[in-house]
Amino acid sequence: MNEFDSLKSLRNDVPERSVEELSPSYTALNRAMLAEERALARTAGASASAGSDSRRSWFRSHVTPKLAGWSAAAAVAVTLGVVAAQVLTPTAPAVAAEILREAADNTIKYSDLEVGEGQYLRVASEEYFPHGFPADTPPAGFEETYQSPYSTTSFMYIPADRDESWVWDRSGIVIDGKQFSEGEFLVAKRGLFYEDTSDGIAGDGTVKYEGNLTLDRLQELPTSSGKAAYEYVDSFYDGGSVSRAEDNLGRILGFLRVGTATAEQRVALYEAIALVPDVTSSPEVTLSDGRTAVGFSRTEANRQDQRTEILIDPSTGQFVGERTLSADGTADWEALFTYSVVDEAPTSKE
Amino acid sequence: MSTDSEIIQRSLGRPSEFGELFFRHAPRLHRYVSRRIGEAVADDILSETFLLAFEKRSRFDHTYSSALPWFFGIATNLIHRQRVAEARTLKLAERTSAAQTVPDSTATSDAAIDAHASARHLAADLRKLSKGDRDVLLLYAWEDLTYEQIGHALGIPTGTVRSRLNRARRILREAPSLKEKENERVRFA
Repeated sequence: MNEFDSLKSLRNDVPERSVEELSPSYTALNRAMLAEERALARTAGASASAGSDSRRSWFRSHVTPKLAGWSAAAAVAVTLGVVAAQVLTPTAPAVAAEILREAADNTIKYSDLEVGEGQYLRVASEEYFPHGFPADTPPAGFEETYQSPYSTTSFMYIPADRDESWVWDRSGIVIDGKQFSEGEFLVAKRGLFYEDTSDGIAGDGTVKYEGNLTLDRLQELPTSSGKAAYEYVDSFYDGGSVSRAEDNLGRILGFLRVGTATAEQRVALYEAIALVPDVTSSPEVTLSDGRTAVGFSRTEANRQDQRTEILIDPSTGQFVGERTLSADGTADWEALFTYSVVDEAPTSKE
Repeated sequence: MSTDSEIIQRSLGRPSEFGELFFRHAPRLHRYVSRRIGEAVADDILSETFLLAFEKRSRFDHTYSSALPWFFGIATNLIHRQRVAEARTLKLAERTSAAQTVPDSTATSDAAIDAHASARHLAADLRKLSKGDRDVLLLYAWEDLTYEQIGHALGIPTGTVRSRLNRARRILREAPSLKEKENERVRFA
């Protein structure tokens, strides 16, 4: 054995750390990069609210256990830096979304509402249609008004035991003061409200998934990293949309819409969003109900540059809304969500 | 996949692109720093290495496609400021080698004993090298850098790399294989 062989073995006990373990050493670099991005943005005259020039990084630390209430101070152990408008491509470090830790401003803090035995998670949603009823020809009796703006509300009651009966109280549609459609009051185990049109129907109509496909898939979501979650989401792409990115983003939205995604799952899903091609973000979006949210959006060229936006409450990490916007930036549709825990679900329409 | 040079070029207009280099090279750099001065200080050195590199990236020599030697050079200069930590780490390596139990296998005992003694002596001998010689030797032996890469890292001609390496090897070969006394003074050049 020569001196080099001996030298190679010296200090061999020192292991090579993973990038995740080294994330604290990334902080200073990240701040420097952000500072320079902001300086460049100011020089270029871009507005911070457009989120067009600054970039911050995702990171993951620890996941909180379920805690009662929304106490952010008690709940915060998961923080994510906001990915700013710099586009992430699949060839960019896929590990970035899962490993970088940012200690700067605009982090998303996560907590879960605790739903006790016998209680329900109540998801209140309000949908707004600023351009009225989407129809090429006006519905009978609404020729003058079908393009007037209108909104609908609904309340979903999700039991602590997901296998038990879910309740969905949906309001009807009222357009310009006139009842357009009646509401619905639906009860179904495991949220399978429309069993005959549930997910899992193959193109030839011969395959039917026996269950709530989205909920079941959500429960199997890998949460070890955004990369793992993204690959999981991507694995279900079957050519349904010519745009794989749009399809995957839609699938992530589907998981969020269920309303039951835990903090750990939401971390993984948001990190997966960052891995969808051409996703950008805005650190501060004002919702129509006055709340502010972090927005992740993607423009789809195959749909006349329609933009899909996902809205997140930075104080809870909860999915609080989504909207689609036209190429000129005007909203085509908006849905906003609020969450609470209640002791019982209604047994008939409210 | 983009080369390090291409990433650095892009980062001049899009600073956050530089972050990818952390993912590519941080684990290996951290281990190199840890092996030299211990893990307690390695995190800070790693952080400072990338911060300095980011600040100096406009001066990166794009005739090189890889930035790894450049990072090693920055880290090595930062290591020089940690002379006490490096000395302590090498002493620890010497004592650790001395304390390790040699496997009691009749088939390998002689070779194992030789390797054990050799490692222990090397740890002591490394402390006797000048810092320039030690830098070259460890980048060569631990990180498998070529002469040219070492030259890029340390900002010295390839010929100087070769001569320092030869000198270091000669010192290691000729160093007495006797136990050092506790009160021997070790001088860093």
